[in-house]
Amino acid sequence: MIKAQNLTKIFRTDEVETTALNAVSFEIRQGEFVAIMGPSGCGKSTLLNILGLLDNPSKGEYHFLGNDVSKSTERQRAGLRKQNIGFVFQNFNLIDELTVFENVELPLIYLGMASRDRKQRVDEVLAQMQISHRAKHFPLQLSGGQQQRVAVARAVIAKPALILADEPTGNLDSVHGEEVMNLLSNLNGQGITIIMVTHSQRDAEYSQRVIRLFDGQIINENIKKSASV
Amino acid sequence: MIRSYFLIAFRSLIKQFSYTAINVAGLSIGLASFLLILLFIRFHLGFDQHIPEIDQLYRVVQIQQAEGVGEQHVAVNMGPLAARMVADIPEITDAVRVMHWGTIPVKIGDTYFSQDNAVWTDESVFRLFGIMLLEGDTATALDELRSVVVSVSTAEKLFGKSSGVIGNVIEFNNESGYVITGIMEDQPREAHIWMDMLVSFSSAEVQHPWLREWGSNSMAVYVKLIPSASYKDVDVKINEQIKAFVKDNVFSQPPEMYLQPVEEIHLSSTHIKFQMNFRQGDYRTVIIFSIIALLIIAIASINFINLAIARSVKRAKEVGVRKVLGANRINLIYQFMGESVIITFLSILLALIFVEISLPEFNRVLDTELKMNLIREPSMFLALILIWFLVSMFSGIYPALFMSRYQAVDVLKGSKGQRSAIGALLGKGLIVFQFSVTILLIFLVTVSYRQFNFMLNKDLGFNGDQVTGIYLQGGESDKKASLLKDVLLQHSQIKGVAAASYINGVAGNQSTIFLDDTSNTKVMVRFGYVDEDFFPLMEIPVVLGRNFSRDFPNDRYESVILNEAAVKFLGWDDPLGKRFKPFGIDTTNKRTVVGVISDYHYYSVHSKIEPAAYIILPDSYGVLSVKAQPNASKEVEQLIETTWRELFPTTPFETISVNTYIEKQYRNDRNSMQLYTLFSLLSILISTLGLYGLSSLRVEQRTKEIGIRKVLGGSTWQMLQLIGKEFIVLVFIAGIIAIPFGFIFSKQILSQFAYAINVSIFDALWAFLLAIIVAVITIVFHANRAASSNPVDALKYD
Repeated sequence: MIKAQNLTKIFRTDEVETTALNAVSFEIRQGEFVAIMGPSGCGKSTLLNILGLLDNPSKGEYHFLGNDVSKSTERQRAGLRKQNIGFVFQNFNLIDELTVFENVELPLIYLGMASRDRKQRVDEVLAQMQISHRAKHFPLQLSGGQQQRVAVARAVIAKPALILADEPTGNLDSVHGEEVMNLLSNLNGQGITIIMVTHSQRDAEYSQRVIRLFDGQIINENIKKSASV
Repeated sequence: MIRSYFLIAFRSLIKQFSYTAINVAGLSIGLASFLLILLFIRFHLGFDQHIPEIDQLYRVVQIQQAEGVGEQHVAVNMGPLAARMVADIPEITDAVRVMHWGTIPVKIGDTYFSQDNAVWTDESVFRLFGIMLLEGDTATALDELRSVVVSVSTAEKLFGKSSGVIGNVIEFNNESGYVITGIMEDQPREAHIWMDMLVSFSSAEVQHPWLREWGSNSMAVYVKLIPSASYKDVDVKINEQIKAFVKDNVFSQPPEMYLQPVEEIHLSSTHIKFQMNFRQGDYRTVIIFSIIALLIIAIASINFINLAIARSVKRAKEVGVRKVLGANRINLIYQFMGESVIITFLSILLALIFVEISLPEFNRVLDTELKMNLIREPSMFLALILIWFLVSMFSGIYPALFMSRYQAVDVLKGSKGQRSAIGALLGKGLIVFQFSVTILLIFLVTVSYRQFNFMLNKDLGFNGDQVTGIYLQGGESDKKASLLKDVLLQHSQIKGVAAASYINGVAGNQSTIFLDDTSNTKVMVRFGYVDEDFFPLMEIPVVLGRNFSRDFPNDRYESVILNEAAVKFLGWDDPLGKRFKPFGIDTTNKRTVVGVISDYHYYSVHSKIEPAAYIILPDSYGVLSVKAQPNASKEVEQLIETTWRELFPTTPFETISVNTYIEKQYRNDRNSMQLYTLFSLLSILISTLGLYGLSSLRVEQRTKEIGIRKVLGGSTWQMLQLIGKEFIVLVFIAGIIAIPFGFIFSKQILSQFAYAINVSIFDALWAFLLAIIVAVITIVFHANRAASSNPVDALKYD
């Protein structure tokens, strides 16, 4: 599903050049649950942004679903992104002005789905995430765990092939964190590929493979259990 | 999707209530001002538009080269001109004469009425001005001698009923036997000429046979051209054919003539003398207010733009998330435009309420009848929709483009979507623009206000304090004047009484007078008919020779007094004893100069003091001026009224004070000044609202910086300077830009006055200082809160 070859990302300011990713290569197959770990500043989030088609690499090739997307325009990336990728963020990134229902519905709106179909799909996913009773609430009225469940619901609503999770439990206590990890694990069980950036060894336990980054380079790849393809 | 745009726009606006309130308040005040000015402009542009085929209707204007006065344009003409034009020039299909001589006494039975807006005219007036008769026949109504057509309101005033008055006989202008032959609808007041009573022109010709001659200019002449005719071509023909005729048959130096489109009379006639132009407007005022309207709406829209951009930092996260979830730039542009559409809509609603509430007061102050009826006027409704669209676009498009540019990855990486250098420069540019406009408006208000005060307080060359003029209505004005004078002078509260053609001492007419010798020395003068007491009463000094005196009984027949302007033009060192040929209404007596009075402003200071010649002519007295002793005005007013009612119980009693007369001359100036003041105050308010919102957002964005600076030892005062400097510098730049424009526009405004103040640098400094003070007060409020807060809170907050 994903093939990265010599992915390099260099950030330049007027005086300083920082290499966030340095010739990183790896492959991820459909249905895998991969954790990316490493200390702060090692390039985890940069890698995730490139994998999530939010950013282009400075050098190297990135094949997503068989297409080389490393030089795609934002418009092309946006098209692929909304069809195929769901995002879960550490700080949830819900839109405060929209209700839970409307937040979850948003990706479907951008996909141009009809209103009635959207409603049906959102109801299903909210039920699946056990958050239906909060559908009319606004994000700030929910606990952190609930907010992250909404974020996960939003990530899966468009039935993406890939979910990218950036420290999904970073802002949660251990109980709520576990809840979210179980959700992701279940989704993986349903065949969705999950790539998760985390600092937490405990969360990494849920994955089948851990890619360790240090100073923008892969220093270690552990396969913990076989992917449930 | 559209629902989602509006939903989030709506919620976002509610959530940021203070921001929304500032935006809606600013924009609605701006829109209300814009709408009021729009109505004001429409009112002026709508004059005479009720006249059918107005595009073919023209007024004949003469360009005279008058000795002592210079070139002057006048809209009065000679009696036979209209018929001659129709006969000689094929493009002219029809013509009408309209003669207006002010208020005319009308008597029915024993009761006198003062009839305003009575005109002598031809039957073609019905065709040319599209006047319909409710009773009577337009083909015959003005055929006969002493025929009168009245408007419905006039019929009600005179007879107490609006129909069935045909055949009634009235006394008109002290002549009996006038018969009502028709009733017309009330004529619109949004017209350069008001006609409440039409009298057959032949009646005037019988009373004043000289009206049939070419010798005097006494009436307006309107002509109708064939649709395909170019009036400029017709001008050429008039000057070739008519002028040649006049030259051969009447005067050796006939005036140039040209046609003025009737559509242009209301707004483009300030250069024309002797014209019927009720409520005359000025296209320059219309242009200035159109510019002000656009500037105010721009200021209000700029608030929206600047606040939206400043606030965009807060909305970066939302933009990022939406982009991650698949929104493209167009989606986001639509969404932010949606907010602009909603805010503009709310502002329009509020603006309509403001307009509705303020219209009566606006009309009262400006003496207008502005109205707005959206249901009855689809054009106004459409105009509002257009304003809605344009303002939404103008205010919304840049913030929408700006905010939709944020990259998802930057926002999610934690970048707060800092303003780009261009964005920041534009924001500053917009504030500079706003304050430039504000400073410019304050500047113009200051200059207008000073000019207005200058005019009101200028030494006019006479002292009209405590003077009330009684209109000598109902005929036999000389007898009335002397009778009243005798009675009133018995009262100790009355300091003096004098009769004259009008309260200003001059009559409405002007003519050339010739020296009684072979030199053909001549001068065009205003005529003044005054008695022996007028100059002393008004404290107008006689600078040479003497005043008229009862000790010289022949003064009435033989003497003339000139003003200094006349003497100056004639270049005489010793004018006393110079003799003129008979002039004016008196066609028999030669007149000798017995005195020279100092120049005084018989008209407003808009115009230069022109040569004037004064004679004693009791038949032509129109006003008796009564000067009260100090502090006795009220008693004297009472006394005048009681005396008049006792002596002339059936004649209407009307007075005018010198102060009212002067004030009337400056009514347009006062109206303009009040409008300038109102709109500049509003523009200050809108700019201040914007600055208030913007400084609040800037302070919020710099909370962390302020916290760190304070931790490092910065004082509250230093923090205040830090924040204040950013904006005050912009106001300074605005001042530098605005002041040259202020000087240019002030010169334009002052060019309308023959006597004007000098624009001084202090006018500019005052405008500048006021803007700075307003800006400082606005900014200090927020800056002080941030600067004096606990630095730990600031850092924790961030």
